[in-house]
Formats: sequence, structure tokens, C-alpha cells
Amino acid sequence: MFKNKHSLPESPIRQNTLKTLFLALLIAGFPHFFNLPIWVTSVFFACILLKYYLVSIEKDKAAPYIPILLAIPIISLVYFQFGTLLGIEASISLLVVMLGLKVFELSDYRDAMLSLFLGFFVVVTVFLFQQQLIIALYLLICGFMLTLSLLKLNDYTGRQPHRQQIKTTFELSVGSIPIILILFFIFPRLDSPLWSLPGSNGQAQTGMSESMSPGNFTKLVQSSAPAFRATFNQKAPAQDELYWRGPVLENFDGKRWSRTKSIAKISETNESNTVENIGDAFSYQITLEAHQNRWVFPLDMAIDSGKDAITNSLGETLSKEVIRKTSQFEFSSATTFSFDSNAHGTKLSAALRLPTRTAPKTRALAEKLFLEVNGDKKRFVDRVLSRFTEMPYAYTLEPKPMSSDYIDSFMTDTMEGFCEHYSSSFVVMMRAVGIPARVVTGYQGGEYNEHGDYYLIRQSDAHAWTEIWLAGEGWIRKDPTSMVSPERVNQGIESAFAGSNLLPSTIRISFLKKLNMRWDTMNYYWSKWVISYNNTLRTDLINRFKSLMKSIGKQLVISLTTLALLVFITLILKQFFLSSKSSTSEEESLYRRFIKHNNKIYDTEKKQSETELQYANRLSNKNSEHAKEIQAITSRYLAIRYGNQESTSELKKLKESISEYCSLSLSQQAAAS
Amino acid sequence: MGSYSNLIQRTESTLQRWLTRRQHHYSDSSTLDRKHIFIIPTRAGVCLGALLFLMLLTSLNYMNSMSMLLTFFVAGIAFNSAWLTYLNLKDLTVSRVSQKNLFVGEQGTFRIKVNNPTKRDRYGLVFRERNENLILHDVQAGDEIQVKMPITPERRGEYKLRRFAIATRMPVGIFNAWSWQTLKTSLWVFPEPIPNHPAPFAASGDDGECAPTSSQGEEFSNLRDYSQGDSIKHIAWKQQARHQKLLTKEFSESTSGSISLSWDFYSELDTETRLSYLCYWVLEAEKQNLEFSLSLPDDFYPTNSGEKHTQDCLLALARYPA
Repeated sequence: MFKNKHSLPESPIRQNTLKTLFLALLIAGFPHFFNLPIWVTSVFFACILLKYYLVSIEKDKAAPYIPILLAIPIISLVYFQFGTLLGIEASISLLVVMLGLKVFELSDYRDAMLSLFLGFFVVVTVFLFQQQLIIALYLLICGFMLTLSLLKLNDYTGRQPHRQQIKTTFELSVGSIPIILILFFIFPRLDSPLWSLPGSNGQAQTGMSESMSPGNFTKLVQSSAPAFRATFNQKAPAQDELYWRGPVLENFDGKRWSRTKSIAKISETNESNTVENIGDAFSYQITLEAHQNRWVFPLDMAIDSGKDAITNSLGETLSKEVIRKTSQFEFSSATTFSFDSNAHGTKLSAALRLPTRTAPKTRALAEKLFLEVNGDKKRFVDRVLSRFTEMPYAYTLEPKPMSSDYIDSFMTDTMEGFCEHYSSSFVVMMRAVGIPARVVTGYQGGEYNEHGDYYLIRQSDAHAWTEIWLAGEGWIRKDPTSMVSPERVNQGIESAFAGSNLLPSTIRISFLKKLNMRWDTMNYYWSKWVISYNNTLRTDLINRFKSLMKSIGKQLVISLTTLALLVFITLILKQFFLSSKSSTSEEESLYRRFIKHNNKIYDTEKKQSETELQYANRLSNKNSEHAKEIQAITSRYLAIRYGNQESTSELKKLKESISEYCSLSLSQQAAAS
Repeated sequence: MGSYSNLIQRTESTLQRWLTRRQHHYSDSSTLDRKHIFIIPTRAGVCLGALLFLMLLTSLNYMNSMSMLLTFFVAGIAFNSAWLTYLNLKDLTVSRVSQKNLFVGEQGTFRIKVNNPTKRDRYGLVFRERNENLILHDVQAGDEIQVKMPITPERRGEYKLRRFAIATRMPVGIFNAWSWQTLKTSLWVFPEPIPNHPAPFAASGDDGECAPTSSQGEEFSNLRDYSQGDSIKHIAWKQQARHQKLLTKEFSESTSGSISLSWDFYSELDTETRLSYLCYWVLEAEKQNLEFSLSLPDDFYPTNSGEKHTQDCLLALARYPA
């Protein structure tokens, strides 16, 4: 019964069809140049390009043994590269290489279809590495191209015009939009993965690290990649209050600042919240780009970290899970507060430790200044800060070469540095006189985007500042960099380095900047509504829809029912009127008119059993003066109905002759009576 | 075991009944409408379905919204292509056209008209009958085509068009739609003409002579004056001596002598051979412009000539019960 499905001919593969397919596959595989080992993508490209060449010079001979011979060495190569065949990168590499080989040995319709379907799969794997809007747009083109080659592959006769195929592709793509939207927003998501996600170690993402040594920040600041975006629910704090708090660094070994505790220990925190005397609270959302770590950067200081993150006693905030994709967090923060004011003894000891041989000159300087202010801690802090402005300190991304003890070198000799130099020197000075101090890293500032009403914080906004602890006041933020370069804090990193070509060029030109802002707005909504769309958001959306339905439910039900009823009635009426008409063609209705007329005038009805010719003969006998017309009408009708010459001109002739006949016989009858 | 095959049988008969209900009754023309179009995925379609599932699993597992979007994009394309495949058949009409009758063993065509009254061009239509005849067609919007199905009939009698299918896999090849159709159309297959001697002339002209088999095959009617261009062969040499002038013999087109073809002539042969022999002589008689009559056991066609007469006689031979 279903036999015919197998015996339908497979469409032949043609040269230009294959070229379209190869092009689509090349476009689809291109982004993997940035994700996979270079040789993998190169093999893929080489195979397809070679095949393309062979096809275009029409010397394409099927050589199925070549891929089989190559398969084993390539599988082992992938194994040696990754040490496994099951990891995400290894399996995708395998897929890409194998697809290349498959294309190389492609010889018939089935191979071509399979390669094309695998092409779609390759596109899916690209998204496992990159999810930006630009990639989405790029891959949309891939999807379009693949669909177009699907159409070309299945064009049996090869007579379908190119334009028609493009039109059909559009039809298909546009038609799938509602399906995509519905499925995307209602399709249930998994809360935990089905199989474990092997860590993708290959991708070193730029992002905040958990330690700080000279040069760290310089690298970070040169990246314009977005770190996160923040949307304030009501008002936003002033620009110089925008300190996005990240890892707190207390340990110093003379070169490198690091955290005291390992991340693993943070989760077990049951230390009570030590933030008190809270001022105005700001609530906001953070949409954080994936950075393969757990750090979240709320505004200093978070008082409510939502359900997906926790804040520990150091004021560091961590996500409950590693941030592998763009994720959203809800926070509430206060900019005025007192933090840990009751701390004592052991809790502060880490913030006082200094390696004994480090920075002797700086220590001496600190002790000297401390004596000058008679041991008043507050006055000492102010004195140290003002010294940065009094002396010719400069803020630069390219400090002069320093000696191995970079604190001394910076403080007393070169006097040129970046936030990491300022903050670490400041902390060393504080600790030298017994004031608990530590380095806090994070981001400072952010670019306000008025189109999307959010702040965009880039990697280039990375910053390091300090906290000192004073009895009765707790930890207080001090930013020595702001003494040297107030613009850094008031207007952002960009203005601090106006004219320098160290910053990425995209954010320097103001014309481009505007364009950039709009583009970023689109990216923001993209990450907010698409990339970070998860079960929580889905449930949220469905709930919102439900409550909307509840509020307008009754009217909606009534109006929908009315609409449905109207449509139903229209359909019924249409069916009714059309069914009586549609089965008869035009010539039939004309002929019926002819019969009806005869019935009326000559009382000659056509019998069911009679053929048209017999009827015509009978009629001619009865009405001999019109015999010729009757025969002409009948033969014309039969020619149209059963013959091969259905054309409008013939129909028109039939119509004319029938009406002529009718009027003639009518007038004669009138004359007779 | 028994109950199992019984179940299968019952299911099959139910299915068959359902299919029969969905088929058109034999008619002059019919439209491929919603009720008569079936659609199922092709092998490639099933393959794509499996791949889609894999894609979905991957994107779900990695909680990757973008791959999810793409998966749904492909699913959307697949879904819509089913619709387009269906639309490639919908509202086409098939109708019968007059057929040319054939002889047994003669290569000919069986024709059907496919009309596309809609505004949508149709591509890659496959016409199938008796499981083999695959013919590919494109029908432009508002156009009509004649499907010419090549046939070589092997049996005498009425060649009916059986249930046939109009199928398509366009535009994407992952769905196969088809519609079974039946049309009230047939052609007649005449017996295969087999040359044979002697001719089955039971009784012909007055003198019982065999019909002339000369190249002219015409009967002498009268004499007239010779005019230039007349064939020398036709000059009446004997009469010329008497009349002292050249006279030309005139032969009439309509023969005065007629032949009668009779079934009884081949009494020792089987039915099909008899019919084939008679068929040969009917054609021969027509070729030579002879008047002839045909007598069959239940039928008699009186002496006559002309195309219609020939066709009637051939039809009688074709119709003769086996």
C-alpha cells in the first residue's frame, strides 16, 4: 500500500546543486575555526574545497576507499589531541572531520541529504561555544543556505527557477517563526543535564581572576568584551558609587595577591550577615556573561543576593553553580552601610600580614608618615592618599619597567602605575602601620545605555580598590586610584585614557560609539530573553500569561467563542454555496441552460438515459427549423466537455450560440402566439 | 499465531475499507482535495526526525537556548514543508481525454489531463499506475498538461485505467504526498493483425472470383477518351482498334464488387487467432478501399466502407467475448 514511497525516483544530483550545498556547509563550519583545533577545521575545509573543485571540473570520481582509509588515523588524531573521544570538543571535532570526509566521498542523493542534515547539526554545535547575537545572525544565513540547498537537491526535474526556490525558502523560514516562538517559550527545559558536562578547559575566557599580580589588569582592561549588564528597577546610584564587588584578596606574598579561602569553603558559610546601618537600597538585575567561574559582581554591598547566589562574610558573592551560559541574578544593594564593625582578633589578622622582606622602603615611608600624624589612623589614611596627588604619580597602562620588588619601585621610583599598583601599595602602607587592609577586585563604573535603560560593564571596567578596617566603623572603601585619576572613577576608564591607543578602538570613536550602544542594546535583549531563558523564566512567563488570562479571561472567552462561531458559520455557508456550484463546470451550466430553455419552449426534456447526441436528434426532429443550430451547439459542447480543446474562446462561442438560439426561438414563439 | 494473523487480516480489511471510502468513484474528472491526499515522511524525513531528536537532546542537555532555537527552526522548516508538499497536490484536477485505440502489441500512450486551476506552480509531480509507470511533470499555474503514459497492451479488449496515483516529494523531499485517483476512461485494444492466406472470403462478387489483389485494387467501370497523362497500362488497346482512337479504361473508386469477411472461414482455429486474422483482413480491405461485410457469431456488419465502418468492425473484434 505504501510501496510507492520507495519507488519514487530520487532526484539526480547536479553540479550547481552540489556547489550550493558545499557553500552552505563551508559557511556553517567556519565559526569552528575559533573553537576547535585548527587542523580539524582545516581538514573539513580542505575536503569540501577539493570536492568543490573536482565537481566543477567534472572529474569527480567516487573514491569511497579514501575516507575509510583516512577515518582511523583521524579518529586517533582526535584522541591524541583531546585524550578522549567523548568530551564535547572531541566529539564535535570528530563530527566536523567526519562530515568533511563524507562530503568528499559523496556520490548520490542520499549522501547529499545526509551531509546536509549533518550540516544543521554542525550549526547547533557552534552554539555550544558561541552565543552572541552576531553569531545567531550569521548562523541564520547558514540555515537559509542549507534550506536552499535542500530545495535544490530535491528538484527532480531541475526546471524550478532559482527565484522560485528562494521564494520557497523564505516561505519555509518565515512560516517557521511562529513554530519557533511557541516551541521555544513553552518547551520544558531540563533542570539538570542528562549526562555530565565535561569542563571545556580549552576556552580561556577573559574575566576576573582570583589573584592579582602586575600585568593582570592590563590585559583585562584591553578587552571590550561585555562582562555583564545591570538594570536598576528604580533609580541608579551615582557613577562614582558604581563599585561592582568581586573577589577580595587578603594574602600577599610580595608579588601576588590571592584569596585566603578556597572557593569550596565559601559555600559552607554560616557566618551571619555583618552588614549593618543600611542606607537606601537599590534593587537591580545582573545579566552576567558566561565566564566559567562562579563569581558574581553585585554592587558594593549586596544585602540580598536572591536565590541563585550567596554572599559570604568577606562580601564576595558567588553563584550557586558555575556560570556556563549567560545568566541572570536579582540583587539588592546599599551604597551606605557599615560592614563588619565588630570584627576582632583572628578575623582581622589576615588583613595585617606582610611578608617580612617585602618593600622595606615603602614600610619606612609609611612609618615616617604615621609618626608625622602622631599615630592618628584616620589622618594617616588621608595623608597617604593625598601624597598620591602631591607627588608626581601618574596613571598609565604602560608603566616603566620595575624591579622585582614592584611596590618599592612604584612608590619611590617610577611613580607610574595602574590600579593594581595603587591598590597594592596602599594596602602595604596601611598594613605597615597596623591598619587592617585588603585589596578588593571587581569592576568600576559602566556605560549607561539609554535605549535599553541598563548599564553595560565591560571587561575594560575591571578595577582594583582597597578596604581598610577602622574600629567602630568597620571596613571602609578607599580607592587610591581615584586620587591620581579622578576621571577613572567619575567618568569611566575611557575618559581616563582619552587619547591613548591602548584601549580597544571600538569604544573610542564617538560616532561608532552610538552605533555600538544600539548594537549592545540588541545584544542585551538577546541575552536576557534568549540565551538566559531557562525554566525559571519559562514558569514566570507562563504564570504571567495565566494571570493575564484570569484578569481578561471572561471577555476573552466570550470574544473567542464568538469569533470561532463566526468562522464556523462562514465555512458552512461557503461549503453550502460552493458545493452546489463547484462540481459543475462552465460548459455544463451553459448546456443546462440550453436544456432548460428547450424544456420550457418545446417541452422537450433530456432523459437521464439519453446521450447528448440522441437528445439533439430528437430535438431537431421536433424543431426542424433550428436543427442546424441545435447540432452545432451540441457538437461544440461535446468538443469542450470531452475533447481536448478546453479554451476560453471555445466557451465564449458556446455561450454566444446558446444565447442566440434562445433569443431566436423565444421571438419566434412570441410571433407564433 | 492464528489469532495474530486474523487480527492483521481484520486490520487490513478495515484499512482497505477506509481507503476505499476515501477514494473517488469512477468519474470523468476529479479534484485532488483534502480528503484524498495522504502524506507521510520519506526515508530522508525519518532520518531528519532522528537527527532533530538528537539536536533537541543536545541543546536540552547543555541548556543552550540558541541550539534550541535552531533545532526549532529546522523542525519548523520540516513542518512547513509537509504543508508545501500537500499544497503541491491540492486542487489539481485530473480528467479524462479521448483516447486513441490500439492493437495488441502496439506501443501507444494512455492519456490523462492534469489541470492546475490555481495560482501556484506545481513541480515534480509523479504519475504512477500499476506500480511502475513513473512520469515526472511540472504544471505551471493555470496551465494543463496531458500525462502520456506509455503502454503496450498485451490483451485484446477494453484497457481500463486502473487506480493511479499522483504523488510528489517536492519541495524538500522529506515528505511524500500522494492521492489515489480513479477515472472513468478506457481505450479499446484491437486484436493483433496477423497476415494470413487465403483470404476469408466466403462469398464475394457475382462470379465468385477472388477479390482483385492487383496494385490498384479497383474495379473497371467504363471507357473514356484518352487524355494526356493517363497511364499506358490503362489504355484499352482492343477497343482502340474498333473506335480508331485512344480510349482509357476508367476504374471506379467505389468497387462494385464487395467482399465478406466471415468468422466461419477459420473454423479450425482458436478464437484469438481467428480474430487476429479477421482483423488483418479488415485493415487490408480498408487499405484497398474495398467494401466489406463482417459476420461474427452474434453480430453482422453489412457490406459498407469508410472509416466509421472499419472502426465499428474493429471494435466488434475487440469486444468479442474471449
